[in-house]
Order: sequence, then C-alpha cells, then structure tokens
Amino acid sequence: MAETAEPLIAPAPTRDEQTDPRDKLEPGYLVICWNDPVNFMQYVTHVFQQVFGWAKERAEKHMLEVHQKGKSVLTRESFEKAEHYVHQLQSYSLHATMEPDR
Amino acid sequence: MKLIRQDKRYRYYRLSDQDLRLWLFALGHYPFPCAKRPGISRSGEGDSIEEADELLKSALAAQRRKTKSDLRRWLRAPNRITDADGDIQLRIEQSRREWLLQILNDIRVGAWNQLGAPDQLEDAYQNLTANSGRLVFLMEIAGMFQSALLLDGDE
Repeated sequence: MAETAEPLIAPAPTRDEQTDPRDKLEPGYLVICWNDPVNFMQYVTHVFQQVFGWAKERAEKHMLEVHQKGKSVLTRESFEKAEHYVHQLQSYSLHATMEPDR
Repeated sequence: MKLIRQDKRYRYYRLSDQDLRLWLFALGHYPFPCAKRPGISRSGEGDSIEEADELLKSALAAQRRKTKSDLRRWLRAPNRITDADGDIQLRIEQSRREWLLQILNDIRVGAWNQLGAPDQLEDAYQNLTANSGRLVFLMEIAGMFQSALLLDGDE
C-alpha cells in the first residue's frame, strides 16, 4: 500500500459567525506575497494554485505582479483566514505576510 | 533525474549515480536553520499579531521537525531506490511530490538565507569561499531537483 503524505498545511480554521463579534470590529487583513530573488517563478505560480485553488492564469498574474512590482495582494480575509494562508505560504518558503486593510 | 513513467500511485525517475549522490546530499541538509524567517506581518499592526507570530513560528518549527523525521524514514523505504538497467530508479509516491517540493525549496531558500539573502543571486557567486561555495552549490542542486519535479508533466 502506498504511503500517504502527512499534510504540511494546517486545516482551514472554522468560526462561529454568530458569536464572534470581530466581524464588525476588524477591518480585514490583506495577505501579501513579497518578491525575493530565490523562489522560481514557476514554483510561486504552483504554490498559488495549490494554496488558493486558482487556475494557472490567475496564479501567473499574481506571480508576475510579485516579480514586477515587488508584491501582490493575494486576498483579503478575516484575521483567522489570513493567518491560515500566511502559514500555508510560509510552509512553502514564500515571503508572505498579513497586513491590516485600513 | 528524468521521469520515465508514472501511474496513479507512483512516479518513477531515472537517476545517474551522480544524480543520486546529489539528491541524497541535498536532502541531507534538511532542515536548514531558518535564521531570517519572515514574520507574520511587516507592519506589526493589528490585534493579536504578536501572538499569531509566535504561533506561526512554533507551528513551522514543529512542522520542520516532523518533516525531518518523516524524510529520514521516507528515504529508507523499501523499493525507494532500485537498480534499473545500469541506472538507478527512484520511486516517489504521487502524494509525496508536494511534500518534496516544499523540502527542496526549504533547502534552496535556507542556503540563500545563509548566504546573506542577496538581492541579486549573481552576488552570491562573487568571491566564493569554501563555505559560500558549498551553499551556492546546495542552492543550485535543490533548485535543479525542484525544477525536475515541477516540470515533469503535471499539466
């Protein structure tokens, strides 16, 4: 029987929308990927496809934005989801951070 | 390292003796110390961001420890590396491709970080010392295997 890989990616967080008041309080967080000279362009595209489930064209668009403009805003999420995505992206050794959307 | 066939469960690669030595050399360096791990936020603004950064740091460290242990076991698995008509065959589970890509990239980025994270990769090739030469070599080898895994026809 083939081995099954242990996932390196944390499961998506769940929230109780009815009892979490943060929706009204927090502004939302931008998940940003920053350029570096070491990650291959094709690898970055691949990671975006894996982490966000994007089509290749969309992933390439963001990869090129990172490469040409120094960064790309990948998504805007709640604190927990942004944290989850940054964890995933950093697991792939991409330089990703979350910043409040003010 | 060349993909020769694949089925639902496995990918089979043909390696030369030299490929195999380089493969084991590269993977033997996992995990690289992550001296310059980016924080969870550049601005550091937002409630709970420090706590989230600590959690991320801790989670990634635990993940790397587990991956190191899994990698050692994975390399020793039966039929992982076999003879194939004078060459060497490496069998990789389809489910492990993503995992290996992460490992190889960790090594590549780790070597780059230890080189001082130069903005231009070409800078790393200037004035090589024994140590920086080893790191450049490692970075390139990890990148070579990473590319082989990425380019082997998953489209």
